[in-house]
Amino acid sequence: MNHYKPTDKLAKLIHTNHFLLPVINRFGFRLGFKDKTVEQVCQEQNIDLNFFLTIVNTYTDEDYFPQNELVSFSPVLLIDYLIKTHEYYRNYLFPEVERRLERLLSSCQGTCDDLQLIKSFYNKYKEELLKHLEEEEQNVFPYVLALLKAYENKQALPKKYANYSMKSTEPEHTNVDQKIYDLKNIVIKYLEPTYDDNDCNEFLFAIFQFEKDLLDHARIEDKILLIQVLEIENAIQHG
Amino acid sequence: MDKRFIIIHPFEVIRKGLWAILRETFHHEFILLPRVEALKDYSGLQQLHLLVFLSESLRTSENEKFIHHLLGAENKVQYLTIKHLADNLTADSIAIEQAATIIIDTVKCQLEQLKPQNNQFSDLSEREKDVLQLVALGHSNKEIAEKLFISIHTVISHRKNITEKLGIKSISGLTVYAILNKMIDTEHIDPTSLI
Ligand SMILES: [Fe+2]
Ligand SMILES: [Fe+2]
Repeated sequence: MNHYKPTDKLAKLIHTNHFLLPVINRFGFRLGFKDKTVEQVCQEQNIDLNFFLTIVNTYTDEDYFPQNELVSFSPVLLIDYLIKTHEYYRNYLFPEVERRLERLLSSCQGTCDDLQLIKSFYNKYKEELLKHLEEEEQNVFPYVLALLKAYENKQALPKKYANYSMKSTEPEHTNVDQKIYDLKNIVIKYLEPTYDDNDCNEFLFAIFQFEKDLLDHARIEDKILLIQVLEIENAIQHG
Repeated sequence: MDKRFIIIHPFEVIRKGLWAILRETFHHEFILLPRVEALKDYSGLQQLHLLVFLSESLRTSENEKFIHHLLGAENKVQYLTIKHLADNLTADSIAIEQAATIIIDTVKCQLEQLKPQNNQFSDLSEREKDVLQLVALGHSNKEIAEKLFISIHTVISHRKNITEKLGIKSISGLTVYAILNKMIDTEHIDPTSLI
C-alpha cells in the first residue's frame, strides 16, 4: 500500500479513503480545499506535518507503523487528538447510532423482542466504552502530561503518580473491540429480519464506521502513545 | 501474530531487489540470507509468522525439513518460491520477471490464506450448547466444569470452539445469541439482566 506524502493533495486523501473525513475535521481542516497539498494545509493551519501524516496513514493502513524519526512529535498533540476523538464519539457517533437504532426499532413488524435485546446489548456496550474513555481522560492522559512536564523541567513526578506506569494505566482494548464486532455480527448472522432493510443497513453502516474508528483509535493509543510514553518513563528512570 | 519476511537467495541483487519491492507494502522486519544454513543465527525466533522466500533451487524437501526443525516448533512457517520465469507458476511462487504489483498481490494472497477462517460453520454440538447456556447464565468456567462433570480444560476448549463456530467472542454477545435462540428460559429471567 502506498502511504500518503506531504505533496499529496488533500482532496486525493478523501477520494481514496472517505473515512478520513472526520479525521481531518479533528485537525480543523474543512472541505473546500481546492488543489492544496497536505503540506500546504498543515502549514496554513499550523499543524505538525509528520503528526498529520502519521495519523492518516495509521488510519488507512492497519500495519502502518511510523519510522522512529517520524514519531518525534509531542505526545501533547497526540493526546489532544485522542480527546477530540472521544468527543466525536460522545457528541456524534453515539447519538447517531442511537438515532438509527430507534428508527430500526420503529420499523419493526411483529415481535420485536430480539431487536430490543440488541438495544440492551448496545446500551451495555456504550456504558462500558464511556467508562473506558473516562478512565483515559481522568487517569491516563493527565498522567502522561504530568510525566512529560516532569521530564522536560527535570522535576520529580507529582506524588499522586508515584505508582503509575503507562502499561498498568491504559485500559485494555480487547473487550471494547470484541463487543462492537459481536454486535455487528449478531445482527448480520442471527437476527430474524423483522425490520425495514434500509433502516437496518443504515444502522450497520454506522456500526461499521464506529468499529473502524475505534480500532484505529486503539492502535494509536497502544502503538504510538504507549511507545512514546515508555521512552519517557525509561529516560526518567535512568536519568 | 507478528510477521517476519525471510528472503533466502544466492544472488544479492535478487534479495535486495525483492526486499526493496516488498518493504514498500509490508512493514515487517526482513532477514536477507544467501544460504539456508545461515538461518542458524536466527534459531531464537519465536511466536512469529515467518514468510520464507526460497530460490527455486533451494526449495527442496531437505531444506524445508531443516527450517522446520530449526523454527517450526515455535513459529508458523510459510514458503514462497522465487522463480526466474513466470511459466507454470503455482499460487505459492513468484517470478523475478513479474511486475512488482503482481509479486505483491501474490504475497498478500498467501498471507491471507493463513488467517484463521470462520467459514467452516457447523452447528453447535449438544455439549457445546450446554456450555453456552451456562456461560450465558453467568457461570464461571469452574462452575461449568462442576455442573457438567468435565474438566476446566474441556470447558475452555468447548468455549473456544463455540466462539469460532458462531463468530462471537464476548460473554454478553454469547448471551444475546443464547437468548435469541431460546436456549434460556426468559419467562423467569429478565434477559437484559444477563447481558
Ligand atoms: Fe481513547
Ligand atoms: Fe483506549
